Amino acid sequence: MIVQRLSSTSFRDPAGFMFQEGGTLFRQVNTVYEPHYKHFEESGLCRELIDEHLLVGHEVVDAPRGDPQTVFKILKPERVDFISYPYEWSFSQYQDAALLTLQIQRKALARGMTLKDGSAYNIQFQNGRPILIDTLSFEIYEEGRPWVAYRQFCQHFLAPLALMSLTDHRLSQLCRTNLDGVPLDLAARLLPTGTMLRFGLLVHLHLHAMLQRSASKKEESPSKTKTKRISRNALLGLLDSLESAVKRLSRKPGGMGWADYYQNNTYTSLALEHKKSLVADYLEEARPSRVWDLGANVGDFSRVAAARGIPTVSFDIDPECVEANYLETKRRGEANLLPLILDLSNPSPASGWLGEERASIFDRTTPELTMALALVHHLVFTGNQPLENVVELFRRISPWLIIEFVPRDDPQAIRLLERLNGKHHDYDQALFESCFEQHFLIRRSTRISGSDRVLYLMSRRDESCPSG
Amino acid sequence: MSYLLFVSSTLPDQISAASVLGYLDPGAGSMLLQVLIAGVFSSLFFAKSSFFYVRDALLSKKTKI
Repeated sequence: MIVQRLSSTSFRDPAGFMFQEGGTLFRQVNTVYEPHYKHFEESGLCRELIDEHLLVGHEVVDAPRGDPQTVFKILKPERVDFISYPYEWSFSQYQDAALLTLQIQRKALARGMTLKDGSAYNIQFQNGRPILIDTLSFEIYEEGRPWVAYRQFCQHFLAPLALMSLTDHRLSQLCRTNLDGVPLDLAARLLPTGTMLRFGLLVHLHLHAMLQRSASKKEESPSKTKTKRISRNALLGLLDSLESAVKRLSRKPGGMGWADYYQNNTYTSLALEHKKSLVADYLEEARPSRVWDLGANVGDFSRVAAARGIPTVSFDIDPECVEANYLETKRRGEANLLPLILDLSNPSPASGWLGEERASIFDRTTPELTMALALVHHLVFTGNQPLENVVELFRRISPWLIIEFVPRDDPQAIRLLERLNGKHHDYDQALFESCFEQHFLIRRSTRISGSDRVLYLMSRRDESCPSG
Repeated sequence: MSYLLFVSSTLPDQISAASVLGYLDPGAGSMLLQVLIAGVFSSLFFAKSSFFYVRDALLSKKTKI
């Protein structure tokens, strides 16, 4: 068996680390963490969090694996379908992740434990809801000790949420360059002055930033360090205050105008229904285990895949679309759909230590089938990509493809072309087919009723796809 | 505000920032803030708990009637 320690993604916490063996993911619990892990299990916190789907489940594995010098236990965690990062979440996804962290901290305190980190990267979306994935995030609570993860919680959750809500929703992208969350002094500077009138933001962001600056100027002497106590009630009050501050923030409107696309365009209900039935037919033929829907808008067609039990990631560039998609996912209780923000012209890059700490979007779990419905004309006309580049994108992602061709005389294409004065790369159906046929086999092509659009099912030529 | 600045310049040495498995820098300013404002948080929590206690007591009394 090949054991591969995931040292670039799991190196900070001395309590344990992740490793892969034979393609399976494991978590080693180190001996140094033994008393905390025992308390975590014996206090009932572990069971409670897993039973309430707040923490990812795991099984304890007996086989000798991991590092024998430091091993206490080996856990085999449940696999999360798709790892996403905070800069790919819509406002409500981010807010739900923050509230989950606070809820877990409150439950931990009730069982004599506390969260020792408050990282947004420890939260993932599984079965349509946020869940904590770091089983080793807890330590025994020492009566009187302040919350060590308070700074991280404010940087990872409260600051980005406040900026998205009160300054500009695009500021969530600050998390992409600041992997340990938005620095509080930066957040305080970017927030409107009026936010000082909100008690929660005044304390947790503005005063917090001020004290951080002040404390960093003062040289600390470890020998003089003594413990200053903060009561459990004060800690619970702090959590209440953070929760109120997070809940009071609301989504700032300001998307790119695509969220009402299907209400305001020329699609007839006949065309929409026909397109949905074609997508269902093509999915039936390809039978993919995972689907990505690129340019998914509010996820109408992603739901065709998700409803068939296929784990589907529903990407869109417009945060308003992703927000609407997530709220609908929550409302319906959909387990197989994950809406995320993605700009295909500048996709989430690899970042962090060795450029491996956070994987690029294409280095995570890739799908068996990609859907690109009413997307390619945007990439060519607005994104200035030649069709060859567009084909290369899809060739890299998945062996199967459901893709829609929108002709130049389609009303939506005309709207895009009006702004370009004819300056764009070549684009017509014959070129579209010839470019794709270099790498894909066109298995099905059907004109969508009530339009001149064509929906294709393709499979990559270099893959041994099942004949369907 | 000036009170906080004064206290912030005198207190950081007294606050333990060390977590048991302390790999995370809790930030001296962040620990200090929690201590400084602990009284306020504690009072708010007490007020909220009392409010819910009284409200629940009254509601259960009404239900019994």
